[in-house]
Amino acid sequence: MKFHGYKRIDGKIGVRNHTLILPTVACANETCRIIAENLPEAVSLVNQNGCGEVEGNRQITQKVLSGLAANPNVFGTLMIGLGCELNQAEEMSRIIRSKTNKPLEVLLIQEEGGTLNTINKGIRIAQDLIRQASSCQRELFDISHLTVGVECGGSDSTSGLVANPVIGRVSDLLIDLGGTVMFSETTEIIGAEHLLAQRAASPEVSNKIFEIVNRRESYLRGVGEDLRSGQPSPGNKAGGLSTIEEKSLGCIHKGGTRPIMEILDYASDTKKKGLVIMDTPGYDVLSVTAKVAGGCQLIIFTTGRGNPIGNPIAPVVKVTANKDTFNKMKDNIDLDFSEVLEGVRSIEEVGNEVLEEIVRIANGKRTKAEVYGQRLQVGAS
Amino acid sequence: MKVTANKDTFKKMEDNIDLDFSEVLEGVRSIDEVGNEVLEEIVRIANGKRTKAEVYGFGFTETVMSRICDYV
Amino acid sequence: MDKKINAILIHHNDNVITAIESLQTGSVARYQDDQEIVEIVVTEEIPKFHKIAVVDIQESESVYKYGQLIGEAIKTISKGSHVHDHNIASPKRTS
Repeated sequence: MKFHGYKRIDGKIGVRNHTLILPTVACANETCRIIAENLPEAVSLVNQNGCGEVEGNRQITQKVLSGLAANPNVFGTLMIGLGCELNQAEEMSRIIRSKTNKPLEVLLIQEEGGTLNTINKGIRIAQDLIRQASSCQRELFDISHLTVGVECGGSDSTSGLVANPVIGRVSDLLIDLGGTVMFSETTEIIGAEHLLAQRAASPEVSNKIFEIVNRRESYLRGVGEDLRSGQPSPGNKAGGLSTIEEKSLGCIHKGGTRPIMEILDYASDTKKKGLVIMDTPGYDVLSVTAKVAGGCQLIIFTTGRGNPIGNPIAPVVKVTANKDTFNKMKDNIDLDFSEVLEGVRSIEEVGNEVLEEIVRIANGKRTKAEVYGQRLQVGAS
Repeated sequence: MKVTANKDTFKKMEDNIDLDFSEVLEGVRSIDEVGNEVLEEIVRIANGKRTKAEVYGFGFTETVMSRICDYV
Repeated sequence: MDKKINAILIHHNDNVITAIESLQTGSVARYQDDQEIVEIVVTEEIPKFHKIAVVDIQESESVYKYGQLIGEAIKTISKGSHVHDHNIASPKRTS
């Protein structure tokens, strides 16, 4: 199975061809937004961090932002800094360069002399990047070059009954063809970690599964959050989910049945093929951002109650098995699996079709989130 | 409303900074004098006069909030 | 098999089923267990996608879905009644 992708100078294959306007700090957000608004084919994002943070948080900000710039869907980046922020552009450049040698330009608002000058110069620089990007052509590559992230949000009973099992089937198919599937949301593994551990490819992976779950649960307990009473959320409960175990058992189905090859730290990338798990919170915007920072070219997002989110860099495909939700939020949801729930079609049948749709989207077909041109908060943790 | 007493900064970033207090640093004017004028400018802004940040429509992406810990 | 199923038993060992449409008190929940269609009378209003007990479940007894432990009964639950966070909770942890 093949798809048409863009080969980057660092050797990775992208399914989109973005020019990214990247703020090092929140003070540069408006400047980045305005540069991007003047260039229909540029993307930008909101960075709430980059200053006023402790060292540990600054490193997280750097890891996520550099990961986004290094994502294969990005052709090149124009990075905008203020000049005095903790997250210095010079250090950011070094970190980005350690991950990729793709085009990278930098402007500092204080050096350029204010936002008008920076915006002007930024538009000039970015339009050149966009025109360079536009000369890239898609070539045919094997599907094993795809790393697909899978996410579940707004879960209800249909998520665990059908939507996640269908995506689990897609996950198995993709992995058997040599690709990589990444899921995350450690919080939503709680109660089902023993089942995942049984599928670990090695004892180290098995231990790390328990480690990330226990660490996240005890960390939250330490700040007064008893996950087992705080989850499921009100929306989950209204949708029929009664306990965190029930929710997690439903969630883990989206990872399919293949062995788990690696447990990734937050926003880290992987060199492995097969099924990997990234340690992230369950907060969807954050978890999707982290997976894209970790190199996912495409995200599949299962929802029971409905969710409109996208991502500036990776297409987010929204799927549900809840017919009411699909009918209500057709504008934001791409695929409807409710026929499986009704017993009209099988998980295998639908799973095979979804894989073909994934290839179409990899080849350029727009998801509903993309077609509206959504920009998204980074939400670095 | 953005204010600075650094003349170089004001010159460089005049697009984004409203008031320049560098004359106080140079000893040309007093803190009290300038302070009184700033209060009058505050009233003008309260009455509707746009700051430079406002006139460009800045603000859409500039909401940040504290967290007590990581997300769930 | 002329009547459609309106609930799903995920695993043979489960003691709850999931309604795929809302069910009125007194109506019949119909689900497939291996090759058989099983019917039980519903004793309460069941909202769409919520769970129904297929047997009596005693207080502190385990609740199974997906063939796995999803919780423990915190009250006695009778066959055909609504199973949700008012009568089940996470299993108590041993560690």
